[in-house]
Amino acid sequence: MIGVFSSRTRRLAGVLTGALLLAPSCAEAPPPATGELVEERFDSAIVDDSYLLRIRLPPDYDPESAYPLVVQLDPTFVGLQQYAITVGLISDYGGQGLWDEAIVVGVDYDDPSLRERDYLPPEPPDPEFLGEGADRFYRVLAEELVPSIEADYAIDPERRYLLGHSNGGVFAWYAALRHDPIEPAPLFAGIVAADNGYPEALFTYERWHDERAEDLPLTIFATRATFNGAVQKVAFDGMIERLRGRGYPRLTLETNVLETDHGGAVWPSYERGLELFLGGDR
Amino acid sequence: MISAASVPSIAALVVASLIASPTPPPGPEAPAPVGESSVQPQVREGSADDPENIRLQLDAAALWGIGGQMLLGGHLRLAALFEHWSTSRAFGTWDLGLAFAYHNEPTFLAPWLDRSQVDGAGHRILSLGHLGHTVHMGRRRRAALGLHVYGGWNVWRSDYSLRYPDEGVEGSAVVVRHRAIVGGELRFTYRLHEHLGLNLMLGAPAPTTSSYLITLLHVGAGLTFYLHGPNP
Repeated sequence: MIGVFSSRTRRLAGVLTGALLLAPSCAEAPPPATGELVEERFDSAIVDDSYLLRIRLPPDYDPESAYPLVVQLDPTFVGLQQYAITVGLISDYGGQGLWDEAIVVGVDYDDPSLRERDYLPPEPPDPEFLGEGADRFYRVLAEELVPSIEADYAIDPERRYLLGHSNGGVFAWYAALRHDPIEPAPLFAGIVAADNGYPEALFTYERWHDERAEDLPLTIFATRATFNGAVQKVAFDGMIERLRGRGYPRLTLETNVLETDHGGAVWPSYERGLELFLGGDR
Repeated sequence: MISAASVPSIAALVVASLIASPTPPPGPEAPAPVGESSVQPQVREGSADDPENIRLQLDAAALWGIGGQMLLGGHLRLAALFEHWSTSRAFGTWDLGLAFAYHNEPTFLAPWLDRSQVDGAGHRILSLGHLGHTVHMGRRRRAALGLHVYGGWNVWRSDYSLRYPDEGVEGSAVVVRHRAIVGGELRFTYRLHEHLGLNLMLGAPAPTTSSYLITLLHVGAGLTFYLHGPNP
C-alpha cells in the first residue's frame, strides 16, 4: 500500500471520488417495483452492529412456496440505486413472466462507508478465514443473516444469489472463492461481480480454493467497464484466464466487457446476471 | 478577418449593459473618464476595423481536474480578441482561439492503487477550438473575465502494467478511446505588464459521454502572454 496515505484517507478519498464520479451515472430511473417493500433492522452479534435490511417480497407472496433469494450489496451507496435497479428489473421481467419472481434483500448501512469494513479482504488474507473484513462479513451472512431470512421467508436454499458492484463485487468474488468443499453447496449458487477491482488477495483466495477443491459448483457472472482503464483490464483478464484454466467441471463462468464507466456497469451487469439466475438461461 | 461588429450577441449586450455607465462610450481618442485624467489605460481601446487593434494572446496554464481520477496537466491557448463594444468602464471582445491540452492521471493521485504493483498513467490529449466573449474591466482594463465555449477532439489513453509476483500475475494493457468534446470555460486574466499577465480558468465539458473519458471539470492557473494588440 502507499505509505503516505492511511487506510482511512484512502477510504475517504475512495468514497468522495466514488460519489463524485458515480453520481452522474444514475440518471435513468429503474423500473417501478412491484410486490411488498419492507425495511427491517438486523442485529449482528458477530460484527456487533446492526444492518438495515431492505426487503422486497414478490406480488402475491406465498409463504408455502420457495423463492430464489437475491442478496444485494451496496443497496443505496452513493446514489447508485443498486437495490432499486435489482428490484425494478425483477419486478419488470418477473411481471412479464420472463424471470422467476424472487425475494430481494438489500443489506444496507446507516453509515454507507461501513461497506469498506465488511467488503474488503483482510490484509494479509487469513487462510483460516478468521480475520476481519470480508472474513467476518461472510460469517455474518452465513451464520446470522441468511439463516434469519430463511426462517422468516420462503426461500429456496439452493437458489441464493449475491450481487455486488465495485467493492461489493470484490466481496462477491470472495464469497464465491470462499466455498468450502466440505460443505454440500456453496452459500450462494451464483454471484454477479460488476466492475470490481481485483486486489492480489482475490488471486490468493482463488489459489487457496484450487489447492483444497477440485470444483467450484456455482455460477459467476463478472463484468468489466472498459472506461475503467488498463489496470482493470489486466487484473480482470488475469482472474478470468486463471479460473478458466482450472477446468472446474461445475463452474459456469460468464463475462462481459461493457463499453461504459464504473457507475454505468451496474444496470447491465445485474440485468444479464439476473437473466442467468432467474431467466431462461439458468 | 472577422468583423466584430458583424457578430451580434444578446449575451454581449446584456453584459455590456450591466457594465456600461450612462455616459456614451468613449472612442479610441476619447478623453479619459473623470478622475482618471492622469492615468492612461494599460490596454488602450481600439477600433475593431483596424487590424492593429486585434489582440493576440497566448495563455499557458497548469491544470488540475477530475477525470477517471484526479489529473494534472497543461493547457495552451492562442486566441485572437476582436473588440466589439466599449464604455467608459470596460470594453468587450469576441475571442476566437485554438487550444491544446494534455492531462495526466498519475498513480500518486490514485490512493487506491498500490504503486508497488501498478505502473503507468492515464493520459488525455485535447485539441480544441474556443469561442467566447471577454469583458476587460478596471481603470486600466487590466482585468478580463471571459466566458467561452469550446469544442474539439479528445483522446483518452489508459496505459498501465500490473504485477502480483506472489500470485504469478503480470501484464500490461493500453485502452484508447476517441471522443468529440464540447464544453464551457470561465477565464480570468490580469495583465501585470505590457506583455505578461496571470490567468485563472475553470472549465467543464458537457456530459456527452463518460467523465472518465472527457473529465468532469478542470481548473487552471498560469501566464498569459500578450503577443499583439494596441499598446498601452
